[in-house]
This record gives sequence, C-alpha cells and structure tokens, in this order.
Amino acid sequence: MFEREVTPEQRERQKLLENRAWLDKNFERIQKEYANQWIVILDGRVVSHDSEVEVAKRSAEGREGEAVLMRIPAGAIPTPM
Amino acid sequence: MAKFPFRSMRDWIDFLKEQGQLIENKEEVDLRGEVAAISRKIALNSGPAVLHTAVKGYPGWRIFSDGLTTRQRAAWALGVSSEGIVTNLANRMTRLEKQKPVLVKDGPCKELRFFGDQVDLIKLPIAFTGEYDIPPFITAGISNIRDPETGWQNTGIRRFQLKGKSHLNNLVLPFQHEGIIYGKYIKKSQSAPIAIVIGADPLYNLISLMPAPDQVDEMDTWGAFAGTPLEVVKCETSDLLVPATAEIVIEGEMDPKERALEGPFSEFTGFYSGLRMLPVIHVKCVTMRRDCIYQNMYMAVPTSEAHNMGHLMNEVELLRQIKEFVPEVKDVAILSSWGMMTAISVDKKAKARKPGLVNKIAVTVKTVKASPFVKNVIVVDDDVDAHNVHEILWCMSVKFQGQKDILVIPDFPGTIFDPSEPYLGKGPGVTSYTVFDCTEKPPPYDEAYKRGVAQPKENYRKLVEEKWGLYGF
Repeated sequence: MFEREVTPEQRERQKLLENRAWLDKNFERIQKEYANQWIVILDGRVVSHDSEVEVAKRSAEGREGEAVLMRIPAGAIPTPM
Repeated sequence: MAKFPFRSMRDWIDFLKEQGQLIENKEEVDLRGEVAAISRKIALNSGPAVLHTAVKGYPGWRIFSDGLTTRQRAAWALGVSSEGIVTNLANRMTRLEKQKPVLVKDGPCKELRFFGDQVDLIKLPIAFTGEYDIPPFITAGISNIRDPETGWQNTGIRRFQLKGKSHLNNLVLPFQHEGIIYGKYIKKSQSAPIAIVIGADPLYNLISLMPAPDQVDEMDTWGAFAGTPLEVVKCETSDLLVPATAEIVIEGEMDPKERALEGPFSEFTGFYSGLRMLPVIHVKCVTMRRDCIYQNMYMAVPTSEAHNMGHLMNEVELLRQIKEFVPEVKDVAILSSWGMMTAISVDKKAKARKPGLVNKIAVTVKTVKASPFVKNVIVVDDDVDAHNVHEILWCMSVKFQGQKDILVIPDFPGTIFDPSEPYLGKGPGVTSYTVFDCTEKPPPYDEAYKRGVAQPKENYRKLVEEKWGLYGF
C-alpha cells in the first residue's frame, strides 16, 4: 500500500502537514499576534485572520485540503504530562 | 458462517453482512468530511455498518466503520443478548476466568512490513472528523504499552493526530493507565515503546474501552469473554503483543521529554478540545495485511459509534463497581457524553425501607474508579427503564421537585474536557456534581403513584410485542 504512486489528495495532505508543522514551530509568535482569532495558514504563512471563522476561511477557498484553519486561544497551552 | 468469538475484523464484517447489517458502499467517498458525515447519519438513525470500497485519492483502500454503533451489534460482538445487556455483563464480569493470550509465530497483520524511510502515514486513508480537526486523527487506534517495572501490558483506545510521514501525537493523560505507565518511562528518562492496532476484532475494540483495574491485561479479559485465548504476535521493534489478525499495526516510541502541539479534536463532549502539548510517537515500523481495510471510528457531537461503545463499557464497570457498595442499585445508563449525564435505577422496595438510599448512591458513585466523567446523575426506581430517555424525562416531569430533589456538591473533581467547567471560575477539572432524585415520593406524598401507571393491561402489551409483525407495520 505504501509503494503506490502519490495521488493529488496525498500531495495535498503533505502540504497540510507542512502548514501545520509551520504553525507548531511558530506558535508562540502567532499566539501573541492572533489570540482569540481564527487564522488560515497556507504556503507556510498566515494568509488571513478574523474573529469570525466564516470570514477567515474565505481565503482558503479552493485549497481547503492543504489549509490549516484554527482558532488561536489566548493563555498558556497545558502540558498534562 | 462467522460467529462469536469473532477472530478478526473480517469475520465481523462477514457476520454483519449475513445479518443484513452491513452496506458495501461502492460510491467514492471523500476523506475530508464525507466519511464522517455518513457515519454521523448512521449514528443518528441507528443504521447499519458500512464498508466503503472506493476512497478518493487512496486507490485500493477500503474503510470500515460503524460496526459497533448500535447496542445490538455490540451485544453480538460480546456474545450476549442485548436484553438487559448491562446487568448481564456486570454479573458476568464478576465470574470471568481470564485467559492469557497465546503467542503465535506469524499472522495476517505481518503480510506486509515497512521500516524506517519506507513508513509513510500520509498513505493511510485517515478521515477527518470535524471541520477543524486539522490535521486529521486516527480514531480507531488501540494503543498498547508495557509497564517497565511489572511487565503489565495495557491496551486502550485513544486518538492519534497525524503530524508527518512517521509522526503522530498521542493523547496521554496522567490519570489514565497509559499515562501512569508512560510516567515510569519519563522517570527513567527512557523512550516508551508503543504499538497501535487498527482494525482488530470487535471484542478487542470493546475491551480496549473498558475502565479496567490497574495491572489487568485487557488481552486476558478478551480471552475470558471469548472463552478461548486471543492469538497474538510479537511486534517487530519491541516485545509488545498485538492481535495476529489485525489489519494494521503501527510501532513506535514516545520520547520521555518531547512534546508537540496537539488538537483541536472533535471531542465526546460535542465541542472541539483545546490545544495541548502532548507526547510524540516516532513511528519505526508499520505492518499490515496485503489488502488491508482501514477502520475509522466517528466521534463528535453525540451520538456516534464511539459514544455507543464507550457508554456501554463504562455502564458495565460503573454498575459492577457501585453495586459492591450499594447492592440496591439495579442498572446504570449513560445518557450522554461518556457519563456526564447518567441515569441509575434503584430497587424501589429497598428504597422504601431505607431512607437516604438515594443520597448513599449519590456519594458512592463518585468514589468508584469508573466515574471520572460522571457529572449529572438522575436516580429512578427500578420499574423504569434507565436506558429509555422518554421514561427518564417522564420521571423528571412527574416525580421530581427541584427545591427538594436536587443535591449539588460544588467544586468537585471534574473532567478537563467539559467546556462548561471554566464557567465556575475555578479552572479546568473542577465541576458541580449534581444528583436529581426522580424516584417516587414517599408516603404520604405517593397517592397519585398508587393509582397506577396509565397504560394498557400487561398481557395485551406482551401480545402486541409477539404479534407486531402480523399487523402489517
């Protein structure tokens, strides 16, 4: 199963993971700037932000499969263990 | 013809097909929301299980889900009748003779083996659940980890967020068995080997959800239920044991220190969980069947396959554990959200003789190990079906007075998952524990109840049950 050719959907998923990895790496800075807002990340950067998710996600139209859409919380992120 | 005990997910799929409880969907499905939306509709309608045979972007893959979305299917998987299933299982649990698993040399789960750079989790058809679970989660993954001090292997279903070709986040919490065991590796500064099973037989799925006591190996309990030992194989990269007939086994290690941002996730509460810094699994090996079937389990706003499975196994343990202290308790029904709304029925005659029994139940519930998610409890008499929401609401309507029948214990340990907890201003993990006494009121306030429940005579009710098919309905 792993040997098969990469499909467009799998390529899209790879890009999604890259965008999420970028968010994870830059989270502290992103949280300072965008706390309590919805953001969209594409191509390794924040392409839109808004307090309303329906507004923020317009910039992801057509590229939903690779976009990270997230509400950025304020405050410390818990580390349970 | 497949029958209990089902030795593999394939046996189970064949059985469901024979029972007319499986749809083989040939229409292509999209992982980005269609698979989840189908499971949502199945859960809302108590529909059949489904085997998707065409997955967009994932040629050759099939996805199985909703095998355990109804109580009847769970009963088949456990080899019991669905009638009185909770009380029957709770009784059975006290008499189980555990059987250790049997190690076999090889199994279908090892038909294909991928190591190191060959591993690519992006090629697994992991379906999105909610719109904001980005990236998606493995939701039917059953985690196995071994206690480095005692050798106890713990098995439990959890969620794993896809983070890369060979990386997953793991929701490990300190109060769970996996968390307790992982804590020992942290103390030793050692990586913890872990094995995630996807696509096991349905009994393995259900046992993995049971809140078992410490040091109890869930695979032994599998053998006890099945009456025969589970056949297991050793992992490639550790000494963990996994079912030989599983569809996929993901083997990896959790570093004692590494944490990564996890979430959000479509939680059982019906809202997304917040972000957390959680352990990371570095995947070293994946083994699978040659034509393997991916198992997906939908969980989001109730109801879902996950809720049905989790509620049943928690009900069994809650009933068993509560009855040790209050034998007058007759049944436990989780009505919503993993126990956050629970109904308990009590022996009506015993209650009449023992004033304060409802309060005793109220206090006992929160002392037993299976109760961490129990938050609101409705107590009813045992002439009411605790699993029937109409009957529960009826009791609340006509056997309850708010100014006398509510017990609230404030600032009680809660679950960090409850989105309403911050409202108390005490931080996550603190809740109100509330008990609603919806039992019949005692003399002299019981005159209306003594006039009897208004319904047709019992023999006619039974007759209609027997003849229902003849009426043309």
